[in-house]
Amino acid sequence: MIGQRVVLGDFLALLDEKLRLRNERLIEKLLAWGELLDGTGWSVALSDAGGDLWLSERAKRDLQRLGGVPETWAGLLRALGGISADLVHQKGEGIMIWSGNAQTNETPEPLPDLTRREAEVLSWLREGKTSPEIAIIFGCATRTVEKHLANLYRKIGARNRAAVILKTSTPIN
Amino acid sequence: MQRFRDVSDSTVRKIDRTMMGMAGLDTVEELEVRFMQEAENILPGDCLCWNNWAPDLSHLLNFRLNETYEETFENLLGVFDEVVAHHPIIAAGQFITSSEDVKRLSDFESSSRFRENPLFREVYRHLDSNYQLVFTPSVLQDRRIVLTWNRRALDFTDRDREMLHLMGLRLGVISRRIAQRQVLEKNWRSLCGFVDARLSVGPANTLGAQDVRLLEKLLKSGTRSAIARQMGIRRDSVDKQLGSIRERLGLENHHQLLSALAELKNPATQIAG
Repeated sequence: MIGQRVVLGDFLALLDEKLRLRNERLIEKLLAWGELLDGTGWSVALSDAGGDLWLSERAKRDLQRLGGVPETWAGLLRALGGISADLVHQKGEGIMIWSGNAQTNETPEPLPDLTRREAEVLSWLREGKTSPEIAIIFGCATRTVEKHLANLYRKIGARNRAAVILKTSTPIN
Repeated sequence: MQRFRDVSDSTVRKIDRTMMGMAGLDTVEELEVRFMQEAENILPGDCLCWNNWAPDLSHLLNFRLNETYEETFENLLGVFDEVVAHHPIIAAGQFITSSEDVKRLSDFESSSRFRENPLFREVYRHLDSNYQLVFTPSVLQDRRIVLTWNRRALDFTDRDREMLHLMGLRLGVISRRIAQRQVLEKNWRSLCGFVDARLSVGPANTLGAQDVRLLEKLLKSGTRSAIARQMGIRRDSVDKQLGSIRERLGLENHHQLLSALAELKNPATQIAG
């Protein structure tokens, strides 16, 4: 895509550059979000009016599995003909966000069995509460909260609060 | 680069100024309106037309003429479709190369012979198109922009051709970039819709590219000190930028920010923390 330059006369090059820069900020934002969403497990494809294509790493892997990485938007549409339509979560003129995995929203990544207290600790953790704060909320000792927390780390397989939060996206009831 | 011998520097500058004024427009449709308003002052003619053809040249999608002729052509559209194949430039298979240089009708068929052409008898006669220049400034995803400049009494000179060429080249650059921007804007709205539907905080468009890149690093490496090491900046600087992100998203602390990131996760994919 995206930021290619055409060799033109001096003024034309200048004009094109001016307009390219105006578009560049939008492209930068789109690509940054594309990569962030890739990091959160989505496959992302972006294209501009030129018909060229940007694919996130995950999108490339998906397409490899489907038989080859396309180079154009039209090629992408053909290649994704092979995946089920309900895996495509967002589709626009030059943007496509899909889920490479066969699982869909109905079967979220299962949370390990947590006790009521552990689940409560987890939801307060997401609110950004510290152990002493949670202890006050519970009306128990900080040590007790930390015990729940230790169990939570073990069950989820995380080493610290940040990892616990990032590993558990599904709501807890 | 193409030489423009017959156009003086001051004229070129005038064209550049006029076209530069259109660079800030937001849509190709606005560009169409503005160009047709201003081009007349640079290169006068009788019937001036901006045509939007299908990219594959199969048919004319729509057009814009100067006011005098707008209605006339409107009424002739049905006939135009039938006789357009008689256009000397189209008949010569040179319509497609009108993106490379400006075609002059009289170079393909003398004006006396053109008077016998069904296209002239049925349509062009009513538009005063005895003489014509044709140029294709750009081929966009959904249309091919074709300029046709027509005159009744005097044929176009080489200088006129160069003028239309100069304007057309600039118009080409501007229209391509504006069209690109329109697609990008649509993509951006679509992406914000996707993100905002998942994020309980927000909105996504308060964040710049830098912010989003930082969040991506946070997601990958998990800790702020690791990010600081990786980026070769101080932990304080990372905290400061994250603090500004939290403020814009309406969050109170770092763990809430991590929770927000977790909301973006695709539930169908396992992510290594």
